[in-house]
Amino acid sequence: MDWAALSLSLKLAGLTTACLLLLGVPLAAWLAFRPRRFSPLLEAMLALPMVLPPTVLGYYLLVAFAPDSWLGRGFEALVGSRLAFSFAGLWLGSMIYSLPFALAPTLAAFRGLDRTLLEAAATLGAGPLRTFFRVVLPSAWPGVLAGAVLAFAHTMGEFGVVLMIGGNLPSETRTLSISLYDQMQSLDYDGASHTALLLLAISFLALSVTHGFGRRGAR
Amino acid sequence: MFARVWRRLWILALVLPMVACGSTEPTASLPDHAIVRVVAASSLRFALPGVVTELRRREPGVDVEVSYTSSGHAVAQLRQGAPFDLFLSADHDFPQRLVDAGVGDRASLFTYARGRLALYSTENVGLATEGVTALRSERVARIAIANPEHAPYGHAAIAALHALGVYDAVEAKLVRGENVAQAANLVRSHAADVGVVAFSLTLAPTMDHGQVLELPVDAYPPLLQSGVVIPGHDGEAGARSLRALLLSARGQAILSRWGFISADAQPAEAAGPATTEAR
Repeated sequence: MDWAALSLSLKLAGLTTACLLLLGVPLAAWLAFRPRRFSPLLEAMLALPMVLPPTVLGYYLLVAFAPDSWLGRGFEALVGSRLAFSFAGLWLGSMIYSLPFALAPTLAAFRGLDRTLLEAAATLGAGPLRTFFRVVLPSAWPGVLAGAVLAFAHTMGEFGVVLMIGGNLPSETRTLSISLYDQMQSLDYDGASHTALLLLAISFLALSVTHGFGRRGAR
Repeated sequence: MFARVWRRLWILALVLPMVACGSTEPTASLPDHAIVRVVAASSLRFALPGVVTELRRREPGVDVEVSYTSSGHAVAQLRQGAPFDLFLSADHDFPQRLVDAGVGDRASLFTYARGRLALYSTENVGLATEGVTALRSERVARIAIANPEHAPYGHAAIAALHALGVYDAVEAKLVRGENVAQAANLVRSHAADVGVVAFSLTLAPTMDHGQVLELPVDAYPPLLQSGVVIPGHDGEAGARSLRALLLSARGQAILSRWGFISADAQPAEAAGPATTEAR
Protein backbone atom coordinates (compact mmCIF):
# COMPACT_ATOMS: atom_id res chain seq x y z
CA MET A 1 0.00 0.00 0.00
CA ASP A 2 1.27 3.42 -0.98
CA TRP A 3 0.64 5.31 2.28
CA ALA A 4 2.00 8.58 0.94
CA ALA A 5 -0.56 8.40 -1.86
CA LEU A 6 -3.35 7.63 0.61
CA SER A 7 -2.50 10.57 2.86
CA LEU A 8 -2.11 12.82 -0.18
CA SER A 9 -5.53 11.77 -1.49
CA LEU A 10 -7.14 12.34 1.92
CA LYS A 11 -5.49 15.74 2.21
CA LEU A 12 -6.53 16.75 -1.30
CA ALA A 13 -10.10 15.52 -0.84
CA GLY A 14 -10.38 17.10 2.64
CA LEU A 15 -9.08 20.48 1.52
CA THR A 16 -11.17 20.46 -1.63
CA THR A 17 -14.32 19.54 0.28
CA ALA A 18 -13.72 22.20 2.94
CA CYS A 19 -13.20 24.89 0.34
CA LEU A 20 -16.18 23.73 -1.70
CA LEU A 21 -18.38 24.01 1.42
CA LEU A 22 -17.17 27.53 2.03
CA LEU A 23 -17.71 28.45 -1.59
CA GLY A 24 -20.59 26.18 -2.59
CA VAL A 25 -23.05 26.80 0.25
CA PRO A 26 -23.25 30.59 -0.22
CA LEU A 27 -23.26 30.10 -3.99
CA ALA A 28 -26.11 27.59 -3.79
CA ALA A 29 -28.04 29.91 -1.44
CA TRP A 30 -27.59 32.78 -3.86
CA LEU A 31 -28.73 30.67 -6.82
CA ALA A 32 -31.71 29.28 -4.90
CA PHE A 33 -33.00 32.36 -3.10
CA ARG A 34 -31.82 35.27 -5.23
CA PRO A 35 -32.07 33.96 -8.79
CA ARG A 36 -31.09 36.37 -11.54
CA ARG A 37 -31.86 36.23 -15.22
CA PHE A 38 -28.43 34.75 -15.97
CA SER A 39 -28.64 32.17 -13.14
CA PRO A 40 -29.61 29.23 -15.39
CA LEU A 41 -26.63 29.99 -17.63
CA LEU A 42 -24.32 30.23 -14.63
CA GLU A 43 -25.69 26.95 -13.26
CA ALA A 44 -25.11 25.25 -16.60
CA MET A 45 -21.54 26.55 -16.64
CA LEU A 46 -20.85 25.37 -13.08
CA ALA A 47 -22.31 21.93 -13.89
CA LEU A 48 -20.12 21.54 -16.98
CA PRO A 49 -17.35 19.55 -15.24
CA MET A 50 -19.93 16.85 -14.51
CA VAL A 51 -20.29 15.97 -18.19
CA LEU A 52 -17.01 17.27 -19.59
CA PRO A 53 -14.38 14.63 -20.42
CA PRO A 54 -11.65 14.95 -17.76
CA THR A 55 -9.09 15.30 -20.54
CA VAL A 56 -10.82 18.44 -21.82
CA LEU A 57 -10.75 19.99 -18.37
CA GLY A 58 -7.16 18.78 -17.86
CA TYR A 59 -6.11 20.34 -21.14
CA TYR A 60 -7.63 23.73 -20.34
CA LEU A 61 -6.19 23.69 -16.82
CA LEU A 62 -2.74 22.83 -18.16
CA VAL A 63 -2.99 25.72 -20.61
CA ALA A 64 -4.21 28.04 -17.85
CA PHE A 65 -1.47 26.91 -15.44
CA ALA A 66 1.38 27.30 -17.95
CA PRO A 67 4.17 29.50 -16.56
CA ASP A 68 3.60 32.07 -19.33
CA SER A 69 -0.19 32.37 -18.79
CA TRP A 70 -1.60 35.17 -16.63
CA LEU A 71 -2.82 32.69 -14.01
CA GLY A 72 0.45 30.77 -13.93
CA ARG A 73 2.49 33.97 -13.84
CA GLY A 74 0.31 35.56 -11.19
CA PHE A 75 0.45 32.50 -8.96
CA GLU A 76 4.21 32.22 -9.33
CA ALA A 77 4.64 35.90 -8.47
CA LEU A 78 2.40 35.55 -5.39
CA VAL A 79 3.46 32.18 -4.00
CA GLY A 80 6.83 31.64 -5.61
CA SER A 81 6.04 28.18 -6.96
CA ARG A 82 4.35 26.92 -10.08
CA LEU A 83 0.75 25.76 -10.39
CA ALA A 84 1.25 23.02 -12.97
CA PHE A 85 2.47 19.72 -11.51
CA SER A 86 2.04 20.94 -7.94
CA PHE A 87 -0.31 20.14 -5.10
CA ALA A 88 -1.79 23.63 -5.29
CA GLY A 89 -2.60 23.12 -8.96
CA LEU A 90 -4.22 19.79 -8.18
CA TRP A 91 -6.25 21.41 -5.43
CA LEU A 92 -7.50 24.17 -7.72
CA GLY A 93 -8.28 21.63 -10.44
CA SER A 94 -10.16 19.40 -8.00
CA MET A 95 -12.22 22.37 -6.79
CA ILE A 96 -13.40 23.06 -10.32
CA TYR A 97 -13.89 19.40 -11.13
CA SER A 98 -15.86 18.55 -7.98
CA LEU A 99 -17.84 21.79 -7.63
CA PRO A 100 -20.99 20.48 -9.39
CA PHE A 101 -21.02 17.43 -7.12
CA ALA A 102 -21.03 19.64 -4.03
CA LEU A 103 -23.40 22.19 -5.52
CA ALA A 104 -26.18 20.02 -6.98
CA PRO A 105 -27.45 18.32 -3.76
CA THR A 106 -27.09 21.57 -1.79
CA LEU A 107 -29.03 23.50 -4.39
CA ALA A 108 -31.74 20.82 -4.54
CA ALA A 109 -32.08 20.88 -0.75
CA PHE A 110 -32.36 24.68 -0.66
CA ARG A 111 -34.93 24.68 -3.45
CA GLY A 112 -36.95 21.97 -1.74
CA LEU A 113 -37.42 24.06 1.40
CA ASP A 114 -40.89 25.15 2.36
CA ARG A 115 -41.01 28.82 1.33
CA THR A 116 -43.58 29.63 4.00
CA LEU A 117 -40.90 28.87 6.63
CA LEU A 118 -38.64 31.52 5.15
CA GLU A 119 -41.52 33.98 4.94
CA ALA A 120 -42.45 33.24 8.55
CA ALA A 121 -38.88 33.93 9.62
CA ALA A 122 -38.88 37.20 7.72
CA THR A 123 -42.22 38.19 9.21
CA LEU A 124 -40.82 37.53 12.67
CA GLY A 125 -38.06 39.99 11.88
CA ALA A 126 -35.14 37.70 11.09
CA GLY A 127 -32.61 39.07 8.60
CA PRO A 128 -31.42 37.00 5.63
CA LEU A 129 -28.26 35.79 7.46
CA ARG A 130 -30.19 34.83 10.57
CA THR A 131 -32.82 33.07 8.48
CA PHE A 132 -30.08 31.21 6.63
CA PHE A 133 -28.34 29.94 9.75
CA ARG A 134 -31.42 29.34 11.91
CA VAL A 135 -33.92 28.09 9.31
CA VAL A 136 -32.31 27.14 6.00
CA LEU A 137 -29.21 25.26 7.16
CA PRO A 138 -30.89 23.32 10.00
CA SER A 139 -33.53 21.95 7.62
CA ALA A 140 -31.38 21.55 4.50
CA TRP A 141 -28.23 20.15 6.08
CA PRO A 142 -28.66 16.58 4.74
CA GLY A 143 -28.38 18.02 1.25
CA VAL A 144 -25.30 20.04 2.19
CA LEU A 145 -23.73 16.97 3.77
CA ALA A 146 -24.57 14.86 0.72
CA GLY A 147 -22.83 17.46 -1.43
CA ALA A 148 -19.78 17.43 0.80
CA VAL A 149 -19.56 13.63 0.83
CA LEU A 150 -20.01 13.43 -2.94
CA ALA A 151 -17.33 16.08 -3.50
CA PHE A 152 -14.99 14.21 -1.14
CA ALA A 153 -15.59 10.85 -2.82
CA HIS A 154 -15.33 12.33 -6.28
CA THR A 155 -12.00 14.00 -5.46
CA MET A 156 -10.68 10.77 -3.95
CA GLY A 157 -11.49 8.95 -7.17
CA GLU A 158 -10.44 11.61 -9.63
CA PHE A 159 -8.04 10.26 -12.25
CA GLY A 160 -7.98 11.90 -15.67
CA VAL A 161 -7.51 15.48 -14.54
CA VAL A 162 -4.91 14.49 -11.94
CA LEU A 163 -2.95 12.49 -14.49
CA MET A 164 -2.91 15.42 -16.90
CA ILE A 165 -2.11 18.30 -14.56
CA GLY A 166 -0.32 16.38 -11.79
CA GLY A 167 2.45 14.52 -13.56
CA ASN A 168 2.58 11.59 -11.10
CA LEU A 169 5.06 13.11 -8.64
CA PRO A 170 5.41 10.92 -5.53
CA SER A 171 4.08 12.62 -2.36
CA GLU A 172 3.17 15.75 -4.34
CA THR A 173 0.64 14.74 -6.98
CA ARG A 174 0.58 10.91 -6.94
CA THR A 175 -2.89 10.34 -5.51
CA LEU A 176 -4.31 6.93 -4.68
CA SER A 177 -6.00 6.46 -8.06
CA ILE A 178 -2.75 7.38 -9.86
CA SER A 179 -0.87 5.03 -7.56
CA LEU A 180 -3.22 2.23 -8.63
CA TYR A 181 -2.50 3.01 -12.28
CA ASP A 182 1.21 3.00 -11.48
CA GLN A 183 1.00 -0.34 -9.66
CA MET A 184 -0.79 -1.84 -12.67
CA GLN A 185 1.96 -0.57 -14.96
CA SER A 186 4.70 -2.01 -12.80
CA LEU A 187 2.78 -5.33 -12.86
CA ASP A 188 2.33 -5.16 -9.09
CA TYR A 189 -1.06 -6.87 -9.07
CA ASP A 190 -1.09 -7.49 -5.30
CA GLY A 191 -0.53 -3.82 -4.56
CA ALA A 192 -3.05 -2.82 -7.21
CA SER A 193 -5.75 -5.06 -5.76
CA HIS A 194 -5.21 -3.60 -2.27
CA THR A 195 -5.43 -0.06 -3.57
CA ALA A 196 -8.48 -0.85 -5.67
CA LEU A 197 -10.21 -2.47 -2.70
CA LEU A 198 -9.48 0.54 -0.50
CA LEU A 199 -10.87 2.96 -3.10
CA LEU A 200 -13.93 0.78 -3.50
CA ALA A 201 -14.45 0.73 0.28
CA ILE A 202 -14.09 4.52 0.55
CA SER A 203 -16.60 5.08 -2.26
CA PHE A 204 -19.07 2.62 -0.77
CA LEU A 205 -18.70 4.16 2.69
CA ALA A 206 -19.24 7.64 1.30
CA LEU A 207 -22.40 6.64 -0.52
CA SER A 208 -23.70 4.76 2.54
CA VAL A 209 -23.25 7.89 4.62
CA THR A 210 -25.07 9.98 2.02
CA HIS A 211 -27.97 7.59 1.75
CA GLY A 212 -28.17 7.13 5.51
CA PHE A 213 -28.37 10.86 6.14
CA GLY A 214 -30.69 11.31 3.20
CA ARG A 215 -33.19 9.03 4.89
CA ARG A 216 -32.84 10.73 8.24
CA GLY A 217 -33.31 14.09 6.56
CA ALA A 218 -36.45 12.90 4.78
CA ARG A 219 -38.15 11.83 8.00
CA MET B 1 -29.75 21.34 17.61
CA PHE B 2 -28.83 20.39 14.05
CA ALA B 3 -27.49 23.87 13.62
CA ARG B 4 -25.10 23.38 16.51
CA VAL B 5 -24.00 19.98 15.22
CA TRP B 6 -23.60 21.47 11.81
CA ARG B 7 -21.52 24.36 13.08
CA ARG B 8 -19.21 21.91 14.83
CA LEU B 9 -18.90 19.77 11.73
CA TRP B 10 -18.14 22.84 9.73
CA ILE B 11 -15.31 23.83 12.04
CA LEU B 12 -13.98 20.28 11.98
CA ALA B 13 -14.12 20.20 8.19
CA LEU B 14 -12.18 23.45 8.12
CA VAL B 15 -9.61 22.72 10.76
CA LEU B 16 -8.74 19.11 9.92
CA PRO B 17 -7.39 19.73 6.43
CA MET B 18 -5.47 22.77 7.65
CA VAL B 19 -3.80 20.67 10.32
CA ALA B 20 -3.09 18.00 7.72
CA CYS B 21 -1.72 20.62 5.38
CA GLY B 22 0.36 22.36 8.01
CA SER B 23 1.98 19.14 9.17
CA THR B 24 3.15 18.18 5.71
CA GLU B 25 4.29 21.62 4.62
CA PRO B 26 7.54 21.01 2.73
CA THR B 27 10.44 21.93 4.94
CA ALA B 28 13.31 23.83 3.41
CA SER B 29 15.44 21.17 1.77
CA LEU B 30 18.76 20.81 3.49
CA PRO B 31 21.78 20.29 1.28
CA ASP B 32 22.41 16.85 2.79
CA HIS B 33 18.85 15.67 2.15
CA ALA B 34 17.72 16.72 -1.28
CA ILE B 35 14.94 14.98 -3.18
CA VAL B 36 15.93 14.12 -6.71
CA ARG B 37 12.93 13.87 -8.97
CA VAL B 38 13.43 11.63 -11.98
CA VAL B 39 11.07 11.12 -14.88
CA ALA B 40 12.01 7.94 -16.71
CA ALA B 41 10.94 5.93 -19.73
CA SER B 42 8.80 3.01 -18.62
CA SER B 43 11.29 0.54 -20.15
CA LEU B 44 13.40 1.36 -17.05
CA ARG B 45 10.68 0.35 -14.60
CA PHE B 46 12.57 -2.69 -13.32
CA ALA B 47 16.18 -1.72 -14.05
CA LEU B 48 16.24 1.75 -12.51
CA PRO B 49 15.23 0.82 -8.92
CA GLY B 50 18.49 -1.16 -8.65
CA VAL B 51 20.52 1.86 -9.71
CA VAL B 52 18.59 4.09 -7.31
CA THR B 53 19.23 1.68 -4.42
CA GLU B 54 22.93 1.78 -5.27
CA LEU B 55 22.89 5.59 -5.25
CA ARG B 56 21.16 5.64 -1.84
CA ARG B 57 23.78 3.25 -0.52
CA ARG B 58 26.60 5.49 -1.74
CA GLU B 59 24.99 8.81 -0.83
CA PRO B 60 22.59 8.20 2.09
CA GLY B 61 21.46 11.84 2.10
CA VAL B 62 20.06 11.64 -1.41
CA ASP B 63 16.42 10.70 -1.82
CA VAL B 64 15.27 9.71 -5.30
CA GLU B 65 11.68 9.68 -6.49
CA VAL B 66 10.96 8.27 -9.92
CA SER B 67 7.89 8.70 -12.13
CA TYR B 68 7.58 6.42 -15.14
CA THR B 69 5.81 7.38 -18.33
CA SER B 70 6.38 7.44 -22.07
CA SER B 71 9.33 9.56 -23.16
CA GLY B 72 7.18 11.84 -25.29
CA HIS B 73 4.74 12.42 -22.45
CA ALA B 74 7.69 13.27 -20.18
CA VAL B 75 8.93 15.87 -22.67
CA ALA B 76 5.46 17.42 -22.86
CA GLN B 77 5.37 17.68 -19.06
CA LEU B 78 8.90 19.04 -18.80
CA ARG B 79 8.16 21.72 -21.39
CA GLN B 80 5.15 22.70 -19.26
CA GLY B 81 7.52 23.21 -16.34
CA ALA B 82 7.21 19.89 -14.47
CA PRO B 83 9.73 20.01 -11.60
CA PHE B 84 11.97 17.06 -12.51
CA ASP B 85 15.75 17.07 -12.13
CA LEU B 86 16.64 14.24 -14.48
CA PHE B 87 14.97 12.90 -17.61
CA LEU B 88 15.83 9.37 -18.72
CA SER B 89 14.41 8.79 -22.19
CA ALA B 90 14.08 5.64 -24.26
CA ASP B 91 15.73 7.38 -27.20
CA HIS B 92 18.15 10.16 -28.04
CA ASP B 93 15.76 12.42 -29.90
CA PHE B 94 13.50 13.46 -27.00
CA PRO B 95 16.29 14.64 -24.63
CA GLN B 96 17.90 16.41 -27.59
CA ARG B 97 14.63 18.26 -28.18
CA LEU B 98 14.57 19.33 -24.53
CA VAL B 99 18.08 20.70 -24.90
CA ASP B 100 17.05 22.56 -28.06
CA ALA B 101 14.05 23.98 -26.20
CA GLY B 102 16.38 25.33 -23.52
CA VAL B 103 15.00 23.10 -20.78
CA GLY B 104 17.77 20.49 -20.56
CA ASP B 105 21.44 21.14 -19.85
CA ARG B 106 23.26 20.52 -23.16
CA ALA B 107 26.55 19.48 -21.53
CA SER B 108 24.80 16.78 -19.51
CA LEU B 109 23.19 14.99 -22.49
CA PHE B 110 24.29 11.35 -22.20
CA THR B 111 23.49 7.92 -23.61
CA TYR B 112 23.29 5.31 -20.87
CA ALA B 113 22.15 2.18 -22.71
CA ARG B 114 20.78 0.66 -25.88
CA GLY B 115 17.33 -0.85 -25.64
CA ARG B 116 16.27 -4.17 -27.13
CA LEU B 117 12.90 -5.05 -28.58
CA ALA B 118 11.21 -8.40 -27.94
CA LEU B 119 7.99 -10.22 -28.66
CA TYR B 120 6.26 -11.35 -25.51
CA SER B 121 3.31 -13.67 -25.07
CA THR B 122 1.71 -15.41 -22.10
CA GLU B 123 0.15 -18.09 -24.28
CA ASN B 124 1.66 -20.55 -26.68
CA VAL B 125 1.11 -18.79 -29.98
CA GLY B 126 4.13 -20.40 -31.63
CA LEU B 127 6.77 -17.74 -31.05
CA ALA B 128 9.36 -20.43 -30.30
CA THR B 129 8.64 -22.58 -33.32
CA GLU B 130 7.50 -20.15 -36.00
CA GLY B 131 9.27 -16.98 -34.93
CA VAL B 132 7.92 -13.66 -36.17
CA THR B 133 5.61 -15.32 -38.72
CA ALA B 134 3.53 -16.55 -35.78
CA LEU B 135 2.16 -12.99 -35.69
CA ARG B 136 0.37 -13.68 -38.99
CA SER B 137 -1.52 -16.68 -37.62
CA GLU B 138 -5.13 -16.60 -36.51
CA ARG B 139 -4.11 -17.52 -32.96
CA VAL B 140 -2.85 -13.96 -32.65
CA ALA B 141 -5.83 -11.61 -32.68
CA ARG B 142 -4.28 -8.60 -30.94
CA ILE B 143 -0.72 -7.32 -30.81
CA ALA B 144 0.10 -4.68 -28.20
CA ILE B 145 2.67 -1.99 -28.93
CA ALA B 146 3.53 1.26 -27.20
CA ASN B 147 2.03 4.36 -28.80
CA PRO B 148 4.52 5.12 -31.62
CA GLU B 149 3.72 8.82 -31.46
CA HIS B 150 5.26 9.43 -28.08
CA ALA B 151 6.93 6.17 -27.04
CA PRO B 152 10.24 5.30 -28.74
CA TYR B 153 9.64 1.57 -28.23
CA GLY B 154 6.36 1.88 -30.13
CA HIS B 155 8.15 3.70 -32.94
CA ALA B 156 10.82 0.97 -32.99
CA ALA B 157 8.13 -1.75 -32.95
CA ILE B 158 6.51 -0.32 -36.10
CA ALA B 159 9.92 -0.11 -37.80
CA ALA B 160 10.75 -3.71 -36.83
CA LEU B 161 7.40 -5.06 -38.05
CA HIS B 162 8.06 -3.30 -41.39
CA ALA B 163 11.63 -4.60 -41.61
CA LEU B 164 10.54 -8.15 -40.80
CA GLY B 165 7.95 -7.98 -43.56
CA VAL B 166 4.87 -8.61 -41.43
CA TYR B 167 3.54 -5.09 -40.91
CA ASP B 168 0.83 -5.17 -43.61
CA ALA B 169 -0.41 -8.54 -42.34
CA VAL B 170 -0.61 -7.46 -38.69
CA GLU B 171 -1.53 -3.77 -38.96
CA ALA B 172 -5.20 -4.42 -38.20
CA LYS B 173 -4.25 -6.41 -35.07
CA LEU B 174 -2.25 -3.62 -33.42
CA VAL B 175 -3.47 -2.10 -30.16
CA ARG B 176 -1.61 0.75 -28.53
CA GLY B 177 -0.65 1.15 -24.91
CA GLU B 178 0.18 4.61 -23.59
CA ASN B 179 3.76 3.46 -22.99
CA VAL B 180 5.73 0.24 -23.34
CA ALA B 181 4.99 -0.97 -19.80
CA GLN B 182 1.30 -0.68 -20.55
CA ALA B 183 1.82 -2.65 -23.76
CA ALA B 184 3.44 -5.41 -21.68
CA ASN B 185 0.59 -5.12 -19.21
CA LEU B 186 -1.99 -5.65 -21.95
CA VAL B 187 -0.32 -8.99 -22.70
CA ARG B 188 0.08 -9.91 -19.05
CA SER B 189 -3.66 -9.35 -18.47
CA HIS B 190 -4.49 -11.38 -21.65
CA ALA B 191 -6.10 -8.37 -23.33
CA ALA B 192 -3.57 -8.85 -26.14
CA ASP B 193 -2.03 -12.11 -27.36
CA VAL B 194 1.42 -10.78 -28.16
CA GLY B 195 3.25 -7.60 -27.26
CA VAL B 196 6.18 -5.88 -28.96
CA VAL B 197 7.84 -4.68 -25.78
CA ALA B 198 11.14 -3.71 -24.20
CA PHE B 199 13.24 -6.81 -23.60
CA SER B 200 14.07 -5.41 -20.13
CA LEU B 201 10.41 -5.62 -19.08
CA THR B 202 10.19 -9.33 -19.94
CA LEU B 203 12.86 -10.01 -17.30
CA ALA B 204 10.60 -8.79 -14.47
CA PRO B 205 9.67 -11.46 -11.91
CA THR B 206 5.96 -11.02 -12.68
CA MET B 207 6.52 -11.68 -16.38
CA ASP B 208 8.16 -15.08 -16.03
CA HIS B 209 5.26 -17.18 -17.30
CA GLY B 210 5.57 -15.99 -20.86
CA GLN B 211 7.42 -16.70 -24.06
CA VAL B 212 9.99 -14.17 -25.12
CA LEU B 213 11.51 -13.77 -28.54
CA GLU B 214 14.03 -11.04 -29.05
CA LEU B 215 13.84 -9.20 -32.37
CA PRO B 216 17.04 -8.74 -34.40
CA VAL B 217 18.66 -5.47 -33.34
CA ASP B 218 19.23 -4.44 -36.97
CA ALA B 219 15.49 -4.56 -37.69
CA TYR B 220 14.86 -1.19 -36.05
CA PRO B 221 16.74 2.07 -35.57
CA PRO B 222 18.93 1.79 -32.46
CA LEU B 223 17.14 2.74 -29.25
CA LEU B 224 19.93 4.91 -27.88
CA GLN B 225 18.45 5.47 -24.46
CA SER B 226 19.66 8.89 -23.37
CA GLY B 227 19.10 11.32 -20.59
CA VAL B 228 19.59 14.93 -19.66
CA VAL B 229 19.81 16.92 -16.44
CA ILE B 230 17.12 19.57 -15.98
CA PRO B 231 18.86 22.33 -14.02
CA GLY B 232 17.27 24.80 -11.67
CA HIS B 233 15.85 22.68 -8.85
CA ASP B 234 17.16 21.45 -5.50
CA GLY B 235 17.83 17.96 -6.79
CA GLU B 236 20.27 19.01 -9.50
CA ALA B 237 23.41 17.78 -7.71
CA GLY B 238 21.76 14.44 -6.95
CA ALA B 239 20.65 14.19 -10.59
CA ARG B 240 24.28 14.58 -11.65
CA SER B 241 25.30 11.84 -9.19
CA LEU B 242 22.68 9.51 -10.65
CA ARG B 243 23.86 10.35 -14.17
CA ALA B 244 27.46 9.52 -13.21
CA LEU B 245 26.38 6.27 -11.56
CA LEU B 246 24.40 5.19 -14.64
CA LEU B 247 27.50 5.69 -16.78
CA SER B 248 29.85 3.95 -14.31
CA ALA B 249 30.79 0.27 -14.55
CA ARG B 250 28.47 -0.52 -11.63
CA GLY B 251 25.50 1.24 -13.23
CA GLN B 252 26.14 -0.37 -16.60
CA ALA B 253 26.33 -3.80 -14.92
CA ILE B 254 22.89 -3.29 -13.34
CA LEU B 255 21.44 -2.14 -16.67
CA SER B 256 22.92 -5.11 -18.53
CA ARG B 257 21.50 -7.49 -15.94
CA TRP B 258 18.11 -6.07 -16.93
CA GLY B 259 18.66 -6.73 -20.61
CA PHE B 260 20.09 -3.43 -21.80
CA ILE B 261 23.08 -3.27 -24.12
CA SER B 262 26.02 -1.11 -23.12
CA ALA B 263 25.68 2.26 -24.81
CA ASP B 264 28.94 2.09 -26.75
CA ALA B 265 28.73 -1.58 -27.78
CA GLN B 266 28.76 -2.31 -31.52
CA PRO B 267 25.58 -3.78 -33.01
CA ALA B 268 27.42 -6.99 -33.91
CA GLU B 269 28.29 -7.86 -30.34
CA ALA B 270 24.90 -6.70 -29.23
CA ALA B 271 23.00 -9.61 -30.75
CA GLY B 272 21.83 -11.84 -27.92
CA PRO B 273 21.25 -15.59 -27.95
CA ALA B 274 17.50 -15.17 -28.14
CA THR B 275 17.73 -13.43 -31.51
CA THR B 276 15.86 -14.92 -34.39
CA GLU B 277 16.55 -14.35 -38.07
CA ALA B 278 14.49 -11.94 -40.09
CA ARG B 279 12.24 -13.62 -42.57
